[in-house]
Amino acid sequence: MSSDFERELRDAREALPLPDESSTQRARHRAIGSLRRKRRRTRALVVVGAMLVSAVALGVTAGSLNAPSVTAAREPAVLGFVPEPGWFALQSPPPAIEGQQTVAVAANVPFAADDVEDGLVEPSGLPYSTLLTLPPDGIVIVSTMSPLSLPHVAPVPSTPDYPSIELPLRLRDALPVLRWGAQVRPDQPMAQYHLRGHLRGYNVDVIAYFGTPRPSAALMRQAQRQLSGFVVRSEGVDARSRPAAITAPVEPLAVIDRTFACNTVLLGGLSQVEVRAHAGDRRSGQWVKLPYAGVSTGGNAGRLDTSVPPGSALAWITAGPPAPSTNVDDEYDSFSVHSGGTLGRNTELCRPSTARVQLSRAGLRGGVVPVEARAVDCDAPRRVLIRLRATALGSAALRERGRIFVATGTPLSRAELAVRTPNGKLLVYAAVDQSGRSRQYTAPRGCVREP
Amino acid sequence: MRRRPDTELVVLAREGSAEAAGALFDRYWALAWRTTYAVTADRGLADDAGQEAFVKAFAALGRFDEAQPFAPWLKRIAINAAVDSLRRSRRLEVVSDDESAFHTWALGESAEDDLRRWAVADAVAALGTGKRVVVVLHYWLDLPLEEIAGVLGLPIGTVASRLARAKDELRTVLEEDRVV
Repeated sequence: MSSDFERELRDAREALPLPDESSTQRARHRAIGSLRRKRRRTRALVVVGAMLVSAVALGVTAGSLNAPSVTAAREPAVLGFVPEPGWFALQSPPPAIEGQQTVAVAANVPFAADDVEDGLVEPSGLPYSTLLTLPPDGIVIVSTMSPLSLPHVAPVPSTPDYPSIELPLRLRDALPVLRWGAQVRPDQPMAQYHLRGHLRGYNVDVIAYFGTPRPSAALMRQAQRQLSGFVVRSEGVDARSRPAAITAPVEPLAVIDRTFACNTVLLGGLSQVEVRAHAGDRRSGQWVKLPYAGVSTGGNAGRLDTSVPPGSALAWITAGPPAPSTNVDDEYDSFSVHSGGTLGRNTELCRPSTARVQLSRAGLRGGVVPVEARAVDCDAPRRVLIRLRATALGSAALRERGRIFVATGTPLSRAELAVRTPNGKLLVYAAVDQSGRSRQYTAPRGCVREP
Repeated sequence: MRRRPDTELVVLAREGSAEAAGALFDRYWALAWRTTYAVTADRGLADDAGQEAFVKAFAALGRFDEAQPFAPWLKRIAINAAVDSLRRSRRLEVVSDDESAFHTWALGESAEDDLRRWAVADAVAALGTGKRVVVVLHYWLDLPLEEIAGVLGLPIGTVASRLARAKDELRTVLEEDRVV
């Protein structure tokens, strides 16, 4: 008995998951980079040693050889990119003084070791070494955000150079010129697009660098997808109208990425999941309905508590900041985002899992959905895997809501949801964005749209 | 193409070959990561600790004895990095929500064996951190009790009794669930 039990215990290690692709790429880049840095340091030490010998010989004090060092603090930054699959993103350290610029960069190639310092973008903010070696299909996006004014400083008058812009940023609003810049790589020119605007109290400069002088449409689309992942941590406020907001503490960006194994419930002898999604509805600057996508199973008859999702809900996502009266979903399934949460899951039917679920719409059918909820039923086995991924503009902790849910009330800038069977068949992919857009894709076979 | 032996890659990486270092990384990253994940039960901590293990290993290549196999040496570095990371995260009181518990589900979960392994891994996950780490180090990472005592800085008697209590707890849970 004991040896059998111990064998079972040992065999359970086979259930350990594998690392995901993005962490593998990050670790590879850093580990190999550390080897290069070590060699450079060794060379530098030899040089410094030689200089020290010379300096002593010349009567120079060693103190003059001290170089400044940078200590990067792990504080939240103002803005950032949520990396698309295959992309890498970095941020600058938080501003050391009020009013300092914040920089965020994203690239579809690993950053050169010289451009990264303690996991943050190198202090100049320009990933120069990465740009110098950017391949023809490479893209680097550099975004700089400067506070328009500070409470104790006279407001900087806005200019037509910085028109008001909204998220998501659009590459088509950018100009293929650099007003203050020059070709970073004159011998191998790069296409450089410059987008400027006034966003939530900040002047934003975004420059997209392409490794080729004439980027293809596919490359432009790739850049646009990443540009859509540009997020601003707080509800930005123009310092001239609400000066306190600039100095007020703001929450960090957080990424929620959870996967759950959920039991499905039989209804009429069928085991199915239902995915419902709709676009956002904004009126007079306030969301009446947030863009939303949710997965449920079984029926929701006998719903008692309409402040939280129906008991049949397995998981849901939204995007955008809800007002106290903002709802999601329609009619019988509707619930208040304020009380139900911006993202959540069922604790009775779902439990955390470390299985891998790709956030992909490959092989699925669907597209953008309208403001009216669109529901699709998909045949499913007795258990499905659901992954939720979202960028929260604040704490990402999920807390109890109602009797059987955990959810966060933090507004999300963007969220995705995917459902697959244990055997790997992708059933559903949905994505919502704070711009109000919502997309829904389902498997071409075994899924039927509800009338 | 010829698969280069580890020792050859180590020698080349020691001389600064990024290609050799990359080959070593590709060969052993999964091992390092699964090791750190087994100890930390947290993807974020495992990512950082796995990465740190490789950085440390590459920095210490000069001290690596080529007569010994590379994998166990790296695994040991990964275990230390993971235990350090766990200590750091607890000391810093990193806020984690109610869902940071360690659960796993093998990719081929339709098979009966996989479901049983998942249940066992789940039960291991449900142990308290102290017991879980001892079980994982002993049964999943094959460390003898003396070495576990060294890694955790605990008397060997404490490790042995913690392991015995953990096994009792696991046996009770798994028998109740009719897994074993």
